[in-house]
Amino acid sequence: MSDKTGTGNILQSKLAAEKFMEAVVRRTVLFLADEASIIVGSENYDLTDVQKLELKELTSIITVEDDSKMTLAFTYDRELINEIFNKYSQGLEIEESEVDQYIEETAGDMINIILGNILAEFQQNGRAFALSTPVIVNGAKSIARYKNHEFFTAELVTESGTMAIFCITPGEPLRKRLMKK
Amino acid sequence: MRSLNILVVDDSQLTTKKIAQMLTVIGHNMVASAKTGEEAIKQFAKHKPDMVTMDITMPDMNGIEATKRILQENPGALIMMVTSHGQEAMVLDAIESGAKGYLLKPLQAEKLKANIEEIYEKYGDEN
Repeated sequence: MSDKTGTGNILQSKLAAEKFMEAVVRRTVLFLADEASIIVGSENYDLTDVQKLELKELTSIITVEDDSKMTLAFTYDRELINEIFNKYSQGLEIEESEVDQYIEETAGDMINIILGNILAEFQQNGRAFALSTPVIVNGAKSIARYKNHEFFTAELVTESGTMAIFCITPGEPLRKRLMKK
Repeated sequence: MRSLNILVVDDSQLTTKKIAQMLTVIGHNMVASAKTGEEAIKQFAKHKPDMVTMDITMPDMNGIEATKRILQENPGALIMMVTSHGQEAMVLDAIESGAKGYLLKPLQAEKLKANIEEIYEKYGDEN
């Protein structure tokens, strides 16, 4: 893309990270309501000192291509992502053999749309932040905190299950670790 | 307005299915689809669609680059960016690349219809 893209640091301070997480949660709650008719019953934040991330059955991961290399991860209970998929794909003809692939694409679309929309609120000096394509991780995993990494987490509870949102800086090493497992 | 043949470019097959369904509902037709920028260039050459909906974030070549490449060979191509990116600089990049419109995901059929009609009424006669 042009020289308007890909420089700067979206998370210049801890305060910025907290505001970013609040914006991500706000957009996610709206997305779940508008696109999947799922109401979030409660939101729990942990913005201080998380030592370990517990990934659920399905996780989508995206990296912001700025200087911070921030990674955002959405991790879902199986029942919840299945329900989001069912509503998100309502009216589409989908073969039984395609369902698993489209559930993963639903998770990829969701994080891409939410983060893509939010970055408009955080753009700096007229510069745009590019995003990686989403990476999907299947299966529950546990990720310990790297030295100098910060985890910011939020948990959204719905009647169909729970999802957690993780904001991690710097992002790339975490993504590489996940892909190795 | 007549029914248009539209090439849908998106690396998510689910999104492609959703756009195809919306196009049918609003009276148009997905003539072909592509999951990558390179594939989009080939499909455009093969089908010569009336319009293209183009995602930005794709694995091989982003949609802005694919737009430039299609327009090099087909200056009259009508390309609408359909993307999650709401950043002003990204919109400007897309318009500078030659895209005729910009639609933000999540998609709604009414907005897709309005964008297609606006682009076709403004630029369709030039082709």
